[in-house]
Amino acid sequence: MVTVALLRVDADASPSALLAAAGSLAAAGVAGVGFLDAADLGTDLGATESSLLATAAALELEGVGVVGTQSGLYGFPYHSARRFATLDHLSGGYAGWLVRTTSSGPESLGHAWRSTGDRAAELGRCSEHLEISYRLWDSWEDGAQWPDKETGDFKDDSRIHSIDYVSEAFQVAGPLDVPPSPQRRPVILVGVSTVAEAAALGPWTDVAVVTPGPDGSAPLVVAAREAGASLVLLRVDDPADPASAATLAAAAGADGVAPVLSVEAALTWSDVASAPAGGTFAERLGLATFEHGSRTA
Amino acid sequence: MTRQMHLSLNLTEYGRHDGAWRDPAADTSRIPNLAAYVHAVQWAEKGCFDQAFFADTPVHPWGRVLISPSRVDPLEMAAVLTEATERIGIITTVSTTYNEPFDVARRGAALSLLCGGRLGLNYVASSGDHVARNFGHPGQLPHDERYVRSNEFLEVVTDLWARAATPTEPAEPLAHHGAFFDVEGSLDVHRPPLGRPIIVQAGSSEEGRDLAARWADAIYAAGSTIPRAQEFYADIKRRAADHGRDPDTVKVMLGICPFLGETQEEAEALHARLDGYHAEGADTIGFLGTILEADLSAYDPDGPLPLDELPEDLAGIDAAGSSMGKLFRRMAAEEEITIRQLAHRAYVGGLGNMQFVATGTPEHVADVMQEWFEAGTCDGFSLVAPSIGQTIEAFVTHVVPILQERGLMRTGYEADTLAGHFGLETLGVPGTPSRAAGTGGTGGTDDEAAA
Repeated sequence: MVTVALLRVDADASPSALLAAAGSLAAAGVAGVGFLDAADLGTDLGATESSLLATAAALELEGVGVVGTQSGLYGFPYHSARRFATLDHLSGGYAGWLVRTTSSGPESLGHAWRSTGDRAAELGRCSEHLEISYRLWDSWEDGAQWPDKETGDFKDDSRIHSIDYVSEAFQVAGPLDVPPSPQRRPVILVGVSTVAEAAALGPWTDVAVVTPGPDGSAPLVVAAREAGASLVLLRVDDPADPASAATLAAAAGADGVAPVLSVEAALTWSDVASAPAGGTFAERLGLATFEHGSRTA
Repeated sequence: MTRQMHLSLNLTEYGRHDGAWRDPAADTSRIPNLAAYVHAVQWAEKGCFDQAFFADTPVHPWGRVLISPSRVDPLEMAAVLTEATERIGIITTVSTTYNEPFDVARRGAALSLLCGGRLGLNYVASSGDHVARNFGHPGQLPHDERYVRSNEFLEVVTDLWARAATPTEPAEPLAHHGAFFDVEGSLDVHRPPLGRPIIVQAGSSEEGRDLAARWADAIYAAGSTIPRAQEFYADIKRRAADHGRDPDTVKVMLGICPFLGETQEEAEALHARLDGYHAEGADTIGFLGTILEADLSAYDPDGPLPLDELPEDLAGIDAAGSSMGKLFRRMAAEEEITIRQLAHRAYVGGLGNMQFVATGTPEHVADVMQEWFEAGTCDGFSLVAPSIGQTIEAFVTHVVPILQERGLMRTGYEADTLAGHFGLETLGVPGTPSRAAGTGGTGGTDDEAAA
């Protein structure tokens, strides 16, 4: 049973307490720790933002995935690809991106793009955002970063390619300026609460985090797996303890659990039955190594 | 008390000299190499620097030259560097052309909260078609438009911060509808410490200077001679006063590139060695041709530059590019120099074109810094390290003690925030002097004019 714990970045949580709670969860044996900020929680105010908190945590945590969130609706795909490639470098191969596919009030008013409320259009936009990110992560062939002090060639531009992505919503030339990261790209986690979400984003999903809907969670677990997710976790908000969270996930047919915890609750967690140690976050999750072009070919 | 200089370290992976990575001592086993950045910034903190600065352009640098760019997301890097240090400020770069102000305000506030007010943001109006094409534009925005956008960008981010919630006060919604941005509502993170992160600028054009004088707490300047640096310094201070600001609250940081050695000969040898690493095996004549907008391959490399046959009216890609061309035409006209020699100088001389170079012993470098500082060229220096690890260790070990002994530098940190290092107790919103950003929970705003 795989456990990726998600800490709530509440308005009254202090950054140092959040980092301490992440350390405590890592010691308890979770495979990864992530942070849900105000935009993820749909609230108006949180103590800080998720992906920078994950980056700060990466310096302290060793051998544990660090998961930051970022919208797949707002902002520039180039920045997203760059940020999470950077996190993968800085964490030494333990980065995860939990893609936010919904809008909170503040972010929906703050950005240039505005949703019409058409969920299919939103999912289409998220899917494009992810496809562009994957293409950017694949814009360097293996071995293109080859610093040769003798010849003075720092990299091999003939093995680095523009992506020239053009659609109605996005035009991104690339390539990414960040060389391939230790995992080649971050682990992609996507929240799933409907069959439509599972289907639209499945091609880009490593880890589906299923939130139970009106028909329970089992149909969503099946849909996410069929759509392409390599691993399915059940989201459980405020479980009493690790054992009860694992029981719920097993009952839903999921491969693991994503407990959503407050700082205080996180500090009480210990002896989490989790995946064995691994050299990358993907390895800890039991995922196959990410190959160049594996999802964009 | 003697006026003291502020110091900033310009962070790069190997050093600002493009030959630094080919030094046998440079670690290229891992790219990007986090350990190299952490090492440099921790040494700068040991030397009581105000700040370390991270430049950024979000585009792949094609070609053989320009290997010094960072290749990481600058705010993510800053999150790690602040976590790895305790007192030093970290300034990181954001494009006002290819970002949304809400995102920068949100992430800037978040990181400033994480590091206790040690963050500064360097706002850049991005030029270049290649960058533009990563962000949905077919080519760069016109120069003027970039600066108008920057100004509005700064209005929105500072307004979002000024109106953000504190632990005791709710956020006050914004309703901004401008030429470039429509932003309503409020940030979903708290107001950053001291009201906002430090604002940094580095423009040298007319529009850049004015934007900097209006908004910046610190300005990165380049000046290859004392009179030029004096002109820039006086101009910025005058413009700041024209904007109703106290000129002392605008710190001008002058770039200095020191090649240090125990003796003058050793320092010069280091300089020549790095130049050699950079030029060895490179097409230097082709590079000179690009600057002069001419194909030089048909001419004898050991003969003079055929000035009569070259285009005189250099269009250049931008102002900096075209003035480089004029500079090398002048050198060719005034000196007895071959194409090959001029090409070598052009290829390795990028550092000297951007800021002054001091080559010599620690005493000599300290003397030069004191001379420039006391001549009214700057409020401090931005150390552009040719070879980062080597330069910062040597500078902190040998130059900083001399400056401290002369009373020109602090001997220990007195403040915990970047604003504090600048001697500022509070931070207003410089772009709109009537509005105070407030500090901690005492802020608040009643200004509707910006909406």
